[in-house]
Amino acid sequence: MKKSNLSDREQKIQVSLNEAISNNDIASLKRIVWRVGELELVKFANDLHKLISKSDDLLDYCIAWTLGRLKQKISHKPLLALIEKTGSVMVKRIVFEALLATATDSQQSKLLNSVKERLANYIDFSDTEGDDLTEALQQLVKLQHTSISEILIDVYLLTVAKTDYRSSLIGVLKQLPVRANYFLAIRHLYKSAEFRNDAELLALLAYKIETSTPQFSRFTWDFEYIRLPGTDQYAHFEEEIQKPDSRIAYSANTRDYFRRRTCRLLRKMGKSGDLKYIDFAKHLLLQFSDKDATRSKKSAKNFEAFSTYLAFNQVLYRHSDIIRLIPSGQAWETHQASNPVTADESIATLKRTEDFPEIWDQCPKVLHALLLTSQCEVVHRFAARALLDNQEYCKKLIATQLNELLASRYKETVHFALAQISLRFPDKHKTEYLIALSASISAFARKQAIEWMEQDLQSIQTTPNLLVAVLTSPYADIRQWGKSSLSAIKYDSEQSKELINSLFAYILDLAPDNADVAVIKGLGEILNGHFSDHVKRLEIRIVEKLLQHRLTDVQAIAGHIILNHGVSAEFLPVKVFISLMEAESDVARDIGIKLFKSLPSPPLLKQPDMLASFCVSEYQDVQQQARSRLRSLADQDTEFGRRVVKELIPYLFRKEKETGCKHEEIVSLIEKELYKAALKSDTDVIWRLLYARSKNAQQFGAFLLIKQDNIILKPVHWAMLANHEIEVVRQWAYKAYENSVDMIKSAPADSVQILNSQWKSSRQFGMRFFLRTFTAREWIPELLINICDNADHEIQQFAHELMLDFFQQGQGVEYLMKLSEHPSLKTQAFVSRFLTSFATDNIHRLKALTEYFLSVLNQINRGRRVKSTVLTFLHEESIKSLPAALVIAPILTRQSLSNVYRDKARILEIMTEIKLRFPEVNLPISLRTPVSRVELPNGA
Amino acid sequence: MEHSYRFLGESKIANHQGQSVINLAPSALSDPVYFTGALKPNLAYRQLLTVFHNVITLNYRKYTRKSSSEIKIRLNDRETRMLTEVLWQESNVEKERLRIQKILLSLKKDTSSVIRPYFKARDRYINYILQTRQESWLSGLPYVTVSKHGVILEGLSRDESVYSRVNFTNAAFQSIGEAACGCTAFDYSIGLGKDISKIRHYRNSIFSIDSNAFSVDQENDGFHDKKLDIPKNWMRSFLLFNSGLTSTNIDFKLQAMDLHNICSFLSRNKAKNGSCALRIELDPGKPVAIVFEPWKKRLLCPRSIYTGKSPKRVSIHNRRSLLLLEPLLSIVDEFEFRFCSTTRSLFISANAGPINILLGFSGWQVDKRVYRGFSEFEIATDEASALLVTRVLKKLKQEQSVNVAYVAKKMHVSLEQARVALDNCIKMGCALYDPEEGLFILRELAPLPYRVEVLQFRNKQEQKAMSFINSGKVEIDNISHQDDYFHIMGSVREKIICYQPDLILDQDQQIVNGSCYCHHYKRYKLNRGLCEHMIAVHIEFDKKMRNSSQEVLASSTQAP
Repeated sequence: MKKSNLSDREQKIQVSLNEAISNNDIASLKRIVWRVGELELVKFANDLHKLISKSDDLLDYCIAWTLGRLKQKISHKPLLALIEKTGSVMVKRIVFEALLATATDSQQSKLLNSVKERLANYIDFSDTEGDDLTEALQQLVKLQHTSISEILIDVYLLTVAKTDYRSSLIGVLKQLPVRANYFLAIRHLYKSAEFRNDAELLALLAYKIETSTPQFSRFTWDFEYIRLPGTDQYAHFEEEIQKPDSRIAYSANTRDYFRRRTCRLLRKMGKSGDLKYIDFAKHLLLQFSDKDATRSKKSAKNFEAFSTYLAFNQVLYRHSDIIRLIPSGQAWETHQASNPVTADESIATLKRTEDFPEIWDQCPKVLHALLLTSQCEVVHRFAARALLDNQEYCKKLIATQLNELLASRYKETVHFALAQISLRFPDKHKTEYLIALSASISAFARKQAIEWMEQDLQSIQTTPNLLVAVLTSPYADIRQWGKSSLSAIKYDSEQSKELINSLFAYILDLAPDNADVAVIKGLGEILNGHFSDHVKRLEIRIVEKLLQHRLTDVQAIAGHIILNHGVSAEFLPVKVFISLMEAESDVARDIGIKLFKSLPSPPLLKQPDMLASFCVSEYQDVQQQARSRLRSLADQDTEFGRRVVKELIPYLFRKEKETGCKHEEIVSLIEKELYKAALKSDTDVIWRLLYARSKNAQQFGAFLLIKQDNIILKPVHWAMLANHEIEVVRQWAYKAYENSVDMIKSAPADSVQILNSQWKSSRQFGMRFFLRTFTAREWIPELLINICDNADHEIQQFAHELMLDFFQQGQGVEYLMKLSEHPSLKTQAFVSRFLTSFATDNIHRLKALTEYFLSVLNQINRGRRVKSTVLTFLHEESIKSLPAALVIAPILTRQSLSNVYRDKARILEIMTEIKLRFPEVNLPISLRTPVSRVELPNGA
Repeated sequence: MEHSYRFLGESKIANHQGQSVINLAPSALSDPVYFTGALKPNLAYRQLLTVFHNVITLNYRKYTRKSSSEIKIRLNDRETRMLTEVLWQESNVEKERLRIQKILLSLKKDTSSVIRPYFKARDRYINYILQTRQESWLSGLPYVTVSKHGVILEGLSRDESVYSRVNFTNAAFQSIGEAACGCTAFDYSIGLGKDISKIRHYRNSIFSIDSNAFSVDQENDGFHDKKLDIPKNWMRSFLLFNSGLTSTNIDFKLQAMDLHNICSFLSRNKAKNGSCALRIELDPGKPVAIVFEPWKKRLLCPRSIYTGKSPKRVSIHNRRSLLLLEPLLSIVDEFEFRFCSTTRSLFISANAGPINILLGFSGWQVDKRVYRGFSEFEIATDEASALLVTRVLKKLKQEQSVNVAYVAKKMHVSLEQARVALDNCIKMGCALYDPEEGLFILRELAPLPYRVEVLQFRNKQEQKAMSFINSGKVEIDNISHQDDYFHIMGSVREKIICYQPDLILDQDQQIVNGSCYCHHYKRYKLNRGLCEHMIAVHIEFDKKMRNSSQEVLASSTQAP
């Protein structure tokens, strides 16, 4: 039947085509060619080839569109000729699409390579994966790139071969705003998607157009200037719209056109009985969600939340008596005052209103998919109703599928599933259905579940899962029924144990983000009330886990369990006790404090770490309780006090927390309550305290240092302490120096570090001390040079004096060579004393001292005396031997450029003398005999 | 621009008997960057590090002017004294007045001798606080970059006038231990300067960036957090010095002794009025000549011959900063000079074997009121360039170091486009330029690139001035030239008001005086910089001068 229709249609089209050709009726021709493409009538391909290039761009466009949809390889050549010949951009674009559709694999890759080359300026395809492409495209959108539209269109061309680019493109398009700069892409992609029958993209773009507002409206009587969207600026409309980077696009007319086009496309697809209609309609319906609902308007006309979405309403309400398109074609109006659909609990009473129900009935799977994935209430209502009419499919639905539907957050879907279950209840999946129903959103469904459960109360006893589901249901009515029915059921101990374990497993798995407080509280009441006898025998590790749970209500349950348990505090495990005292829940903590108060001293004395942690707890009540018992315990047992101090001190090395105990409080606690015990701290601990970052810790360290007698430190430590910021610590270090002269003498290198102190008083003490105690035996050159390295001039002077006082023959060379590297001018001057004694007639030393000479001679406006000494030395050495002259000549050559006349004159003098004595030495001077200026009298 | 750092301990230079260990404490919040290497025996790096330290701690701005209120109080005091003097001059009580005045003076002396120790102690305490609080003498921390080419230390003085970079190439190390490439700020204290001076040739030296900062638990007490609010303009200057380097070539070289002579002259003479510029005359094939202003003293550098092809005249205004080079004079024989025409800054580099130093000097003097044009911080505004910048940045992250030609080849763009894109990467704080090798090295100052739009303008006035210029609302009405000074009158249209600022500039285009009708000028005069109208006129004038000088140059080249 269908085939004969088609052939009739083909004949009719053939006749019309011939007629239009013979009459040269271009307008009719375009329509006929387009229709051929829509119907994909392959037989007309050859006729169309002859019509190409009839000097009408729009006709060429229609032909290319049609040939592309027919996908005949023979069309490729004529299309290639067309793309060469045509000058129109729009024709070129559609011909390119058609070429891709009609190309062989090799031709296609050649075409796509040209696209890739075009895109290479923006996207590097050599190392681009899916995520990278999304990132690159998002970056371009963020930059508001002017070529973004062209780029997106090109990427869509590439998806012909590379399907993995598709998800990137769709991801970017979802975020793309519908306005100038981007609308070009949306328009072209809409047409390309229609050309390719790409239902997903087409539905997405249709949805974007439906849900966005136009940027401007334009009427013939409007002023010639138009306000630019989002700014206070105006521009000439005609001029602006012509620009390639126009700042206005997407008018109300454009939007209306696209909305009408989507509706028309849907109608045409449906009329031809094509299953493509279902595909397109499905994607379109899935685009809409409850978030797209607009505010209902109830004026003279009754507009519901989704009334302005034309295509959406057309799909759902085309055959409705109540919801109809208004004459202006801009919205769908609801005719009855009361809403006929929302309050109804039986969907079977509804009338089917969708367009082309017969096609929908061919695809019950699609309807089922809509029920599972759609986020829109009206879509669920339509799909549930339509699926009810497909009972054969419904009968095949298995229990898990029905349970999935019961978990839906839309009543319509739940009622549909309930209707299906009612037909087969009770069967072997009874418990699963009841579990799903007890968590269902619909009160009607839950009521039904209660009814079924009451009918067979004993079966609940055998299935603890069901009772857990009932007791933990998010709905109060079901929980209430469960609680009340507990008394009616008699459990033996095994069953109770199993049920309690299941309930605890549920509680422990709760995530703090989505937990329902009412459910937890209810469970707490049941566990500590109905099952209190059983809970007493619970394993303590479960209680511990409950206490460590992040939800305070769960912690409170644990607290009550411990309280009901009746166990004495001293027999409670330490871990549980700590968890109880540090619980976030006030209830649990109060119980902990109550138990803590009742705790006798002996077990507490065994747990200094526990008490220390309570003393620095972030909860004031816990801190107070712990501190109130601390002193008496420390007095009872000094070892206990020492261990508490040991536990408390590490807190001083940690950063202070905003909510926790402050360092100052800890120090004052130790000083007040644990004074005696603190005095027994180790040297290591005191040392760490002295150099802790916290000032309080340092002060505490200083306090312990002074009070302690048995501190074991070495000279290197004393030197460090003499540099400490706290004065009493420095004073302590001086005393240590004074008291242990022998130890100081045994480690002179470490001891002299006191002279590097940043405190003048320490340095002066050091100098006085060493002058008094050290003898020639200790003052070895290495030590003196070490002291001399100090940057302080006073210390340098001190070192120089010591060197001269304790100078011994044979040390001169070491002093000269090592101190010559010193950057200080005073030390350089000091070194110059050794030059004549230890550097004469020694070419190696002369070479080694080159840097020293340069350093001295390059001083600016300083060091006159040392410069003179050095120059004199160089003078004396240079005239002694040729090798020495060869070493000194480059130095003099370099320095001879000086503009300080005194130096320059002296250097030139030396250079002249070298030149005279050793002419072979390369120097940049030439000697001239001075011309006598005195004129002798004639005849003399 | 708030930056957070977390350091494990402090940077230290430990001089033990046998060896010196230079240990830098990196910020643990950045990606792991560490390095260990034994330096070859060389005393030069002590001098380079001394210069680096001097640059970081340099601040010519620290002597701020007295506030107007303080001056007023002093004047009021003096006024009463002067009035009494005038009033009492003719009366009979003159003798009595003199007697009382004498007593008063002696009392004041006694008071001051009593209170002097207090003031001295207070000063000492303030100095102590200044030294211990890093933020009082440091605007931003120095950065260390470890790359496959070596280790680079970078820092900028607090007054933004001098930039310093010390580059330890791989050849500077005897052996290199574990290393991870990247960039991080490192802890710096003023006491490090003293320790640097203790480095000796006869001790082995180890250079390390502490890797423990990235391996141990950061909740440890050893870590300390630091938050520095780095001034936007400091960061801008830091990036600008880096960017300025890309558009320079070596202009000329000076012998160490020539620089010695310059420093020697500058330390002996101080200009009290007039221009403080150092003018450098470069004629092809002739020795470089240096003229000291305002004395017009000419110094010839006979061993430094200018090898350029065309004559050139450049000026240095920040000349007293050249004294920073003193520690290098004895270890370096030759200094290379580069000028950047856009930022007017001067770069001096010196090689001490495998270690080299690069110093950037701003083209302005700290205490002089000088306007620097914002054209120096040009950024890629069009989309194509912005896109290219992101792609280039991606490439740079892959390759770690690239040159212009490589980028141009890979991105299919011209050399100039590639250079501009890389320059933008520098301005985003993601790269540094090594002029010796011509390489752009990855150096990310912050986890995210800086937004160049934020750094483009120094203040709101500059931004407004830019908008005036872009919309063509600025005109120069009159320019008169007299006694080396320019008097410029211009007009700027803002909405319906036409402001007519006028400016007096010296021959280096530094502002001597100016005025405007606007609110900003009326309220602050020139104390808070120029108003937007004056800036706009100044830039317009600068453009005009450049165009005219180019025309003169073009006409001179066309002449037979």
